[in-house]
Amino acid sequence: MTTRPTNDAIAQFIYNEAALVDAGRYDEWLDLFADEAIYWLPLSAKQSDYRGEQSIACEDKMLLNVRIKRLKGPRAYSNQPPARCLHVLQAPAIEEADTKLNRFITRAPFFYVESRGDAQFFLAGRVLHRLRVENGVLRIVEKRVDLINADAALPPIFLFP
Amino acid sequence: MSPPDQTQSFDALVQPDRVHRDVYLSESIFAQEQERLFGKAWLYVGHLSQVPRPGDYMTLDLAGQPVILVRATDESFRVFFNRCAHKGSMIVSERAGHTGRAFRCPYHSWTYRLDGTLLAVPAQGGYDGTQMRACETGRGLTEIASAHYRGFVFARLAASGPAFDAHCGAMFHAIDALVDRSPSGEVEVAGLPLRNIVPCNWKVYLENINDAMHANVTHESASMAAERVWSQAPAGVKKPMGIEILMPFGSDNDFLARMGGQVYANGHSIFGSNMSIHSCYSSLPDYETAMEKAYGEERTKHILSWVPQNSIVYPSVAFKSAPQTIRVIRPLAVDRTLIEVWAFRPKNAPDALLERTLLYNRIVFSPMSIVAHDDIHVFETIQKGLRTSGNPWVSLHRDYVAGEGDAPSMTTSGTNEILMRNQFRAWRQYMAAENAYAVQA
Repeated sequence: MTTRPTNDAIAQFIYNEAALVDAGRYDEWLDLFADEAIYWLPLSAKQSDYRGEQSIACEDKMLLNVRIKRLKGPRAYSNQPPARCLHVLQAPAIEEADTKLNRFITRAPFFYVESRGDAQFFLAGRVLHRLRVENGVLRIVEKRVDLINADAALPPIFLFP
Repeated sequence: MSPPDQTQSFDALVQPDRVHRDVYLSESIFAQEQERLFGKAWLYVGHLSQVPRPGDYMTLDLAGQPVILVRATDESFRVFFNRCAHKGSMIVSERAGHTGRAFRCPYHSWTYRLDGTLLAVPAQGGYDGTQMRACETGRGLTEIASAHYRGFVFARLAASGPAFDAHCGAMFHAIDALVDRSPSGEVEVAGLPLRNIVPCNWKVYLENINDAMHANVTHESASMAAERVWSQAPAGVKKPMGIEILMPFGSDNDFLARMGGQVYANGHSIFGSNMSIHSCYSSLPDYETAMEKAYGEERTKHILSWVPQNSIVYPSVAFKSAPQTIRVIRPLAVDRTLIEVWAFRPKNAPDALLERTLLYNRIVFSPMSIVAHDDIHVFETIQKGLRTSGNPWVSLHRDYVAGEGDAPSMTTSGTNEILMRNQFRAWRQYMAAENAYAVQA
C-alpha cells in the first residue's frame, strides 16, 4: 500500500512536468518517467491502444532519450534557431487515486504554444497522466496527449506537447 | 520571377541537367501544374479496404477538386466529383463514412444512387417541361476515370487520356512488392493517416524521396543520437526496433550508390532497386514461417530479398514495401504540400510486422518525427534560398550523361540524380501544350 500523495502534490507534479519542458530542461523532464513509461499522442480520442493503428507519437523512454540527445546535438538543423514552447494547463482533475494499485490518473485541458524564429503555432487538447509512487516520489507511467485536432494536417511539432 | 506564359518556355526552365527556380516559386506555374499535370495524371485516391461495403465512402481533394470514392451496390467502386448536380454544394463532408443506399444533398435533398445517377428530386413536377433532365444536371454526379491495382485506387481528373495500365503499369511490380509481403496476398489500411503540412513546393518533397546523398548529412542528428543512446545500452540487450530504424540513416555514400536506382517512362522511379536501408532489419521468425507456408521457400526468399527504399508512381504516391507504407503527395499551394502517410496491415501476418510499420511511420513520417524535422527545415529554407538573385538554377548534374533520356527505362547507381531528371522529363511532357501531350509507350 502506497501513501496517498495529496491532490495538491499531484497537481504540483503535473505543473512541474510542463515547466521542465518549457524551460528546455529535458533530461530532468525525462527523469520524471518510469522505466517502462509511454508518451503517447494518438490520432483520435477514440483510440484505446497504440498497437494496430497509427499515432502521431508513441515513445518509450529510450526513444525520448534519442529525441533529447538529437535536440542537443550540433547537427539538429531544424533546431536552429531553437524551438521554444509553453504549456498553459487547467488544474488537473484527479480521475482515479488508488493507493492499493498505486495508480493515480489525472486529466487536464491545456493550450500549447510553440515558437521558432518568427513563426508560432498553438495546439490545444487534454492531457492524461497515469502516475505511480516509486520510492516515495511520483513517476509518470503514461502521458497521453489528445490534441483536439489530432487528425488534422499538422505543421511539424518540434518539442513535446 | 516573371512566369512564362508560352508553353515552349517550359523547355527553357527545364534543361536536361538543371532546372530554373521558377518551377518551385512561380504561382502561375503552380496553377498550370494543377491543370496540366495533376489534371491529367493518374493520381492516388485510396485503398479499397477503406470502403469494404456498398455505401462506404471516403472523400479527398485531387488537385484542389473535392472527390468521393464509394463502394457501389454491385460492389464495384467509383470515383465522383463531390458536387451536387443542382447548385454545386458538396454532397458529403466527412473524410469517411457510410451513406446507405444513396447520397442525399444537404441543400435541397436531391438524392443519388451509388452509381451516381439521380434518384429523386423533391417536388419534381417543377421540372416538367424544362431541360433539367436532358442537360448535365440530369446526369447526376460526374464520374471520374478510376482504376485499381491490387486494391490501390487511382483516378484521372481529365475526361480523356492514357489508360491506367499503360501509364502506371511499369510500377505494378513495386506495388506487388508491398502486397506480396502479406502471407495472404492482401493488405488493409491500419488506422488513420498521419497528415503533415510541409512548407515547400511539392517537387522539393518528391525529389527528396529519391535523394540518396542527403541522408547521412541531413539525418546525422538522428542517426548519431540513436547510436549514442544504443552505445550506452547494457551488453547483451537485443537491439530495439527504433534503434534499428534510426541508425541506417547514417549509411555511407558507397552503400547509397550500391542501393541502385531505376527510372521508367512517365516520371516513375525506384530508389533502392538493389537494396535499401530497410534491407538490414532483423528477421521476424514467425512471419517467415507464415510466408513459406503461403508461398513456398523459394518464392518467399525472392519476395523478402527485394526491399526498395522508395517506389514513386509519379506524381502523387511513394510506396515502401517493408515497412508496408505509402506517402501521398497533395500540392496545396506553390510553397505548401500535404503529405498523408498510410500504414498497411498484412492480413494473417504476425503483429510485429505491422508494429514495425507503425513505429517507422511515427519516427520518420509523423508531424513529430525525429527524422523528418531536419528535412522539413531544409525544404523550408529552399523556398527562401531560391529567392536570392545571382544564380537562378537548381543543379541536377550528378552522373548526367547526354542522351540518357532517350531510353524509356534504365538501371543506375542509387546516387545518380537521373531519378530527379526523369521526374522533370515527365513534368515537361505534361506541361507542354494540351494537344502536344503524348504518353510514352
